[in-house]
Amino acid sequence: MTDPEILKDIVLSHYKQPKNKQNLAKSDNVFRAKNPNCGDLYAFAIESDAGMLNITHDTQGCAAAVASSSILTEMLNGLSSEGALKFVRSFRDTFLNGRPLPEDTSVELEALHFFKQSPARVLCVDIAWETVENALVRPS
Amino acid sequence: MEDIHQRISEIRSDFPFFSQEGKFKDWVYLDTAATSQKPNRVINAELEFYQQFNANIHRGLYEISEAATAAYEKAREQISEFLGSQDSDEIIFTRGATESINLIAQSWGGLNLQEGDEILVTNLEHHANIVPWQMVSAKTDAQLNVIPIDDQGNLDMQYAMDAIRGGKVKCMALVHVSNALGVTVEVAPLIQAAKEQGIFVLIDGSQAVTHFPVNVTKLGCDAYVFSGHKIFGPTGIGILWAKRKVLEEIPPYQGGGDMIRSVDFEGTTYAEIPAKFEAGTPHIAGAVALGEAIEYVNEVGFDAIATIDQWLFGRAAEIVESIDGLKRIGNTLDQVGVVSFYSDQIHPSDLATFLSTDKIAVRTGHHCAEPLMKRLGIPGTVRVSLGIYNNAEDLDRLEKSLRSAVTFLS
Ligand SMILES: Cc1ncc(COP(=O)(O)O)c(C=O)c1O
Repeated sequence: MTDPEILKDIVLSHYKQPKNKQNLAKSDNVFRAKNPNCGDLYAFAIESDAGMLNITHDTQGCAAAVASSSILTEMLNGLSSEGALKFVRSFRDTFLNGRPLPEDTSVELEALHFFKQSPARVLCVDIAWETVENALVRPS
Repeated sequence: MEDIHQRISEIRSDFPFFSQEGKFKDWVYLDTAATSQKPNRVINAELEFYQQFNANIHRGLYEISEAATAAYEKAREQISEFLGSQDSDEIIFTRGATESINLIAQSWGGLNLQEGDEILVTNLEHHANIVPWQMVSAKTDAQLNVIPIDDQGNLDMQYAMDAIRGGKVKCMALVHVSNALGVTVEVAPLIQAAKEQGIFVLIDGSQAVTHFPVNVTKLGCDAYVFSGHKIFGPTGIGILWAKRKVLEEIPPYQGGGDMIRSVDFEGTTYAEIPAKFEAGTPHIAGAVALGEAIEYVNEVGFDAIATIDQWLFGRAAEIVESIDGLKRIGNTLDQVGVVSFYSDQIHPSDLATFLSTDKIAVRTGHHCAEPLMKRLGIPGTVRVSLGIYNNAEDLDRLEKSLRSAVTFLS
């Protein structure tokens, strides 16, 4: 279990300087979602090059939404579509069902688990993963 | 008044929530506009009812049922007096403000609205005073007409007057105090103008009745609604006051036991008001406890409440305004109970999560007023809402936590 202050810092740094974030106005294949509670907007563009995924996002929202989107891209980029789907499903399974974190969980994913303390914020994190899972299951 | 902080401290000691040894010991509760904490005497009134008087009302010819009926009807009298109604039959117990508005929208609206008619509301409304009217509009082809506001939440009174005199408005449903901004709507001149045109007027007093005295007879509206749980009473009980003439004219909202005079498979005769609108077994203990809550408010007195409200609002507004990057909404002296603000840099959810880790409860988001947030061009606000039990220390803790949240998050 990592020090909560370190986890907070990780979330905050992904929030203030999100990875793989770009304006997706001109991209095709953009998968969008909206948080019904607060109106935050999530957007992901998924490309694949030689069997390896390259996901970018343009999520506008709270720290949980932006950090989740940023960490998601870092975790999935470079994986195959099947590998990514497996990863997303396993994350959501532990995150949503309150299972203990596996030993080898990266500190970034652990940081997202920080939001599990508040049921209302679980959705902020999960919408990113749900959106990408749906996209990977049914590519448009 | 004697020292205001002394008075707050006495009031606070009436509320067991703040002296608890449970999980939420030492929390700062700043979400009273969502629901208020309950004083001992309200909790005890409900307890005592179940322990000593519990029986169904209006049905038994035995003494316990008569006592339960008397307690229930006494609450109706207390509330009638509290609202300045001349006739306690005009008080209908409902589940809350939401059900009260639905009742009027369905029963009055269903009977009286037609295609081309307009329902005048404000841009400040809670969803509870929008959606029921949209539902009846869908059936009757009437339309909503929305009185605009400025960036600080002040109503465009000229627009309102023009609409009232424009000939199309058949019904006006106004919030008395906005739950999202704390802005008080100057309803009196609007009601007067509307009544000159024969327009039906409903006022949503959910956030008003805890802050200042309301007299429905003087206001001259046709219906007034509020929820018990926002005025120190239990959840699940609320009030619809409407003029006798209105309640007698409109059809019942729900059918069932207690609301009939005689039932026959060929047809049914309805009971007189108020029973006509109270189908089924009501929240008897809730009504009794709400009566007790009203007595509590009377005992504290609206003079003391106004003094405390003013101090709390002033201090909370000053805190928000003194922190760089926070923008408070509202510039009128007519705000009460609520300080709503946002930051261009920091998401409201992040501020609330930060405050929550310091054991401070505030509300964020659109506060069930999405059209209002759209008008203000923001996704939501952080809302600090104040009750007469909040003390200086609560607000000092808010200030400290907000300052560190803003430093940490920006
Ligand atoms: C102005 C206003 N109207 C209506 C309501 C609805 O009250 P309830 O949910 O108790 O029915 C509320 C509660 O948030 C309110 O603040």
